[in-house]
Amino acid sequence: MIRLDNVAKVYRTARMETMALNQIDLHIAEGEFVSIMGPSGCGKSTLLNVIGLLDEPSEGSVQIDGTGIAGYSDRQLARLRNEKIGFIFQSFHLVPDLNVVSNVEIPLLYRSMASKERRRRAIEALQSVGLGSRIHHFPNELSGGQQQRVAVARAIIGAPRVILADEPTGNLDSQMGDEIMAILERLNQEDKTTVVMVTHDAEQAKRTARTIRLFDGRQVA
Amino acid sequence: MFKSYLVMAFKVFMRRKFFTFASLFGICFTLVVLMVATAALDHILMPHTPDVNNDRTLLLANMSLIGEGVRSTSSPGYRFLDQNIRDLPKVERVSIFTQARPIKLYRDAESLEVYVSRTDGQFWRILQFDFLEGGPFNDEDERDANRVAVISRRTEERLFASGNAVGKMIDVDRQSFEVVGVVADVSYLRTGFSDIWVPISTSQSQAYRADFMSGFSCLLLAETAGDRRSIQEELASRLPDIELPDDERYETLVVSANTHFEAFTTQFLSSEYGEPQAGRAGALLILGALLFMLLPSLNLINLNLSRIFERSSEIGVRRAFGARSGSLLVQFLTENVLLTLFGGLLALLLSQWLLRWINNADLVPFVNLELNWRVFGWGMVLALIFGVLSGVYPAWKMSRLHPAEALRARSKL
Ligand SMILES: Nc1ncnc2c1ncn2[C@@H]1O[C@H](COP(=O)(O)OP(=O)(O)OP(=O)(O)O)[C@@H](O)[C@H]1O
Ligand SMILES: [Mg+2]
Repeated sequence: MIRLDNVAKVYRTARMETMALNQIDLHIAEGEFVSIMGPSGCGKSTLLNVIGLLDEPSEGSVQIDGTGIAGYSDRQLARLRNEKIGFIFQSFHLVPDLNVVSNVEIPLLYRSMASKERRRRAIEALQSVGLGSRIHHFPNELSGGQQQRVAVARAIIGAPRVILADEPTGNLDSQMGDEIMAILERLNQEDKTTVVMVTHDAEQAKRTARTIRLFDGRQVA
Repeated sequence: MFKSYLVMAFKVFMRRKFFTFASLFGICFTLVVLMVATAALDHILMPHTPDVNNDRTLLLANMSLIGEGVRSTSSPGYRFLDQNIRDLPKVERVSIFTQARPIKLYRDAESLEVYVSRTDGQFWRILQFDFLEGGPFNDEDERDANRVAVISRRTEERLFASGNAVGKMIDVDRQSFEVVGVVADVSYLRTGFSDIWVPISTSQSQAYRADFMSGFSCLLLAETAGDRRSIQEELASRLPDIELPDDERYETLVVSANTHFEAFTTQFLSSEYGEPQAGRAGALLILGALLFMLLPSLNLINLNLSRIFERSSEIGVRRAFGARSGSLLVQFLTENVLLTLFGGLLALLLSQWLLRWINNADLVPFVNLELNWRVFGWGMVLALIFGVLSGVYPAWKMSRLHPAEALRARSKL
């Protein structure tokens, strides 16, 4: 499903170069639930961004679902992201100006679809994360756990084959974190969605089928 | 797709009430001032009844006699105009008239102040008044000193409660005149403004005929707008040969025939010799308008910039979920264009209300300012350009950012 060959990512600023990723070879099969662990600054988010086509590698190649993305245009990348990938972020990244249901609809705005149908699917997605009764609230009217569940609904509404979650429970207490974890596990088991999750929590990592460990931009396990 | 942008824009406006208000206020205020100012300029400068020919006319309203350490400036006299102006080449018509001056009229025991102007027959041919009743007097009336008068609607209402003044008599300067025509009121700012017009020759004293200086104005109608240049030059070349009264004291005669715009601008920017300053005035006007537009636009750009950077998380999220950078541009553009259009609409209503108020409050007597649609159109176009630029530039910058960067910008806060 996801294949990285010899991927490196270098950040260049005026004063220094940071090797955020170094010689990463990675294969994640369809339907896998993989966690990524490692100390802060080791390149976990960078790796996830490269997998999610949000950032280009400085070297090496990335394949998603069998298609190499080298030389893809902005339009083609946008389309791939839209159809294949759903993102969940540590800080939720909900749009504060939009209410819950409009936030969830965002991925479908970039597909051609009647607004009624969009709305119907958004409500369905919200119900599946247990927020069917909060659709007209604004993000700032929800608890952290609820906000992250909205973000999960947004990630799954487009029925992506891959979900990329960057410390999805990092800003939540353990009970809310467990809820999010349970939803991700359910998605993985019931829908066979591939899930890649960055986490600092060893307990959570244990619940996944495989853990990738990074250290200083290198894969150590 | 586009509809969802509209809906989104609306949602954002409703959520960001302060931003929406500030933007609307800026756009609206700028446009309103622009509209009112241009309405005033339009009123003064553009052809309106009765100055419908003002793109072909030249006005002589001032003359100066200059000598060693002396200088006297006044309006031209009848003799000077009569002898030197009528035979200028390429002049189709010449009218000599006095500026309106206030007199007292008596109706029963009441005294009314009205303006009186003395004119010739050509006056009514160059200026096109709206006759509501009757008609103008003509060259024969002036030649024969017929006691006839044209009065304004306002004067008719004040003097004759019943209306229908034609054929009735009015007393001006202890002389009786028969009303031959009634015209719609004209603005105080128009050439030829008055309440009552009577032939020059009906003046009680004929002494004015001998005066070189003071008392009169002269309006020339050129054959074409372009001929005015050569008429001005011909007049200037004649001046040195004209015999001056009191040539012991005075050596130089300065008289200029001004276009409507020149005449207007010399009033505000009179130079040493009362020479036309139209070029300078035009540049000043345009510069002023631009400066005036610039300030709120910069403000708007600034407001948009900070707001869009504030929304970098939203931009990152949309990119992550499949927005092309182009769609983001369109989204922000839609928001700005919508806001600008809405501001323009508000400005339109507000300007119309304000102009009506100015007209009714009689700040300037008999002025009737009108909304100039052409100017409104241009104002809207400018506002749109600024609205688009102020939204597109920051959005373009953001949309070129890597999605990963846009997402990070927020989480680092
Ligand atoms: N835009 C950037 N410019 C320069 N350096 C960067 C940039 N983004 C990340 N880095 C650097 O790359 C390295 C990896 O960063 P990354 O965000 O991937 O770490 P991380 O493992 O996600 O850390 P954390 O657990 O704190 O989230 C860090 O040293 C970071 O400072
Ligand atoms: Mg990280």
